[in-house]
Amino acid sequence: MTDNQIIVMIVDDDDSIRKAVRRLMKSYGFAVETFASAEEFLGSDRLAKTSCLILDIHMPGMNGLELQKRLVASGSGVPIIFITAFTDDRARAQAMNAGAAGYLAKPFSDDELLNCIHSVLEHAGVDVPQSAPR
Amino acid sequence: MPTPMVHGAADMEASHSMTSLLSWLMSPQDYMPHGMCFLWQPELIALHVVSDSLIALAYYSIPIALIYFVLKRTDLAFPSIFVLTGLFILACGTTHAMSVWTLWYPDYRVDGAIKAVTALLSIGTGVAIWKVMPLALALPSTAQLERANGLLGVEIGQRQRAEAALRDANVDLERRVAARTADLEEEVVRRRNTEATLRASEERWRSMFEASAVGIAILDEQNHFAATYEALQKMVGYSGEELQSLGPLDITHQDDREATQKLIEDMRNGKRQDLPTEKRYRRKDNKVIWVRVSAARALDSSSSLRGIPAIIEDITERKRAEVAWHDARDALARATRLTVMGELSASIAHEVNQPLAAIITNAQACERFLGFSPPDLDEVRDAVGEIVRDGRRASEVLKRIRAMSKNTVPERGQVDVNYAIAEVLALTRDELQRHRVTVQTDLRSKLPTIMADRVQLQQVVLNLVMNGIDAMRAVTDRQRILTVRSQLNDQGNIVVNVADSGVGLDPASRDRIFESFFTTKPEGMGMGLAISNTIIEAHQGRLWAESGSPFGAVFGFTLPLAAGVSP
Repeated sequence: MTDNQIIVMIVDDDDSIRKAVRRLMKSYGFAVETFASAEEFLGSDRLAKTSCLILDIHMPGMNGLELQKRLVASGSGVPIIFITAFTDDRARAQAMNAGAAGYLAKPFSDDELLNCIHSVLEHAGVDVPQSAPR
Repeated sequence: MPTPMVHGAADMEASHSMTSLLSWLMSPQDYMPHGMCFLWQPELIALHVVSDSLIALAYYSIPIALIYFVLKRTDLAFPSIFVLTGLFILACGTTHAMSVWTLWYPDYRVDGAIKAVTALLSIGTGVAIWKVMPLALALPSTAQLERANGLLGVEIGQRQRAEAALRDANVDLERRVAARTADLEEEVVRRRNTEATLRASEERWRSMFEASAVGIAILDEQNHFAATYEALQKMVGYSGEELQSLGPLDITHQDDREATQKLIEDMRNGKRQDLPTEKRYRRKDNKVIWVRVSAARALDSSSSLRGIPAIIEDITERKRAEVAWHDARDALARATRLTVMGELSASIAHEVNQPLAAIITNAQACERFLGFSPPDLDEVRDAVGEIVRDGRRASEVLKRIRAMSKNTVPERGQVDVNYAIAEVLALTRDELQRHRVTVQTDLRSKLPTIMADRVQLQQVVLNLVMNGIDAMRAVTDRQRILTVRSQLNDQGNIVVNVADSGVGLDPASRDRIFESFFTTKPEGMGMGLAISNTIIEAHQGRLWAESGSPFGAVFGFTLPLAAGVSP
């Protein structure tokens, strides 16, 4: 099970959001790791372990869309769910065209996020933890 | 008294003695003629006669010439010598004439007498001529005279030249005297004109006093209106008689009375020499008017203060216009601020949405943790703590927005400039981040607070920050850095700088950036810096722009610690 553990990675520069999303994921029974910037995530060796990446768009330094581009370019198929406080149709289109699994506007409901995660995990054929609601 | 008879007898006697003297002198009977000595030889007689006659003639000719010479040459040096010599030669001539005479008539006594006379004259001449000799030798020679003459000529030439120069000087002097006289005449005319002008001016002033729109009054020692003119009476609605029993304090608005009293006292005791002041009067009909009072100490000959003359202008309209102008300025400032806030709206929405999203997410996590059996209360407690914190954070953002966009009258209070800057940076945090701008702050700690309008100052900082962001939009080859700095300068003024690493100032537009409606941005209104400038000026500060180093621009403003009181 350790090898196939579901780990949700959260990359957001906002401390409050990071903590809140981490807590929500935890309540679902997911393992969670958080990163304050795209660079921090890239610098870690956690990409291979990532089941799902919850990614903020607007961040100092490399933004979420750039990180997505980098990951796609490097051949990584990691599923990405964008969360953003900006309602920017262009950014949404760019994210979805590049293969994003979801694009959620802050504040989002837990159902929205959970549905996204579920579809990602089902798509990947991963078992969803028991604690997670269906 | 001799009688004619006696006279006749004497005459006869004299004539008789004269005849006998003559006959004695001639005495021809006593001697033989001289011709006898020559034996009457005719040749010898003729020789003597001719020789003596010629000598005599010549000797007579010489003295005549001498006498003629003396008579003609009145400037002769020694005329007496010439005369004496003339007489001597005349006498010599006579002796020769006598030699001819005595050839036939032996009047040797007469001849001897003449020779004696001749001898005396020749001795006199001989002595006199030696006496005169040194003087005659001292007489200048012709050469000497010529030399002297030459020198004299030179001297005369010099004198003539000197005289000519003197004449020229004289002419010049006369010309100058004439010019000065003309000047003086002109001066007299000018003075007369000046006097006439002064008289006209006095007349004009007098009529202006009488019919002036400006109130004129003279304050007596009891601080009463000793004299007022019609304009002032109309201005305040009191008659001249009424004003005589009133003083400035009586018609001054109650709020301005204390200051007015102090000003008058200072004028009285010489602390102030003049008094330009703006204050309010209350008219007889209770209406309030604004006036500008200019007064000066009027000193009489004994230098003690007698009356204070004052000029009072009704500036109510001007004050009204000023208030209207300030209102318009504030309204424009507010409009501009709201425009900037509108540009910021997306960022502001983001700033509010972040804590809201966190709150909702935390709350939903709480629901789940409470649904566990047993509920995970530790997680719930932590989540609730964060919900409270995020709620406050959202509330802060809204407070800032409301403070910046409130539609209230500008008001002054003690402002912590650093805090005001920090609030603006918090409000623009997301906007800066969205444009990938790194903010560096260098805020001087313990900056004194100043009396200012916080919202308006924040508007200026906000405007400079937004301009900085815009200036760095096109920058891709270097870091976008916005540096906000606060300092205290040598004059004790607060200096705030906002520097960017953007495209910098275009020299051509540099002088115009503070003008209204001047903009380099496609969607800009061109009001930001103009309004900022007005705000800083109203705080007695200065706003400026300069090029950054090595690129970008620096905008700065000063704020005097005793920031202004202008409305």
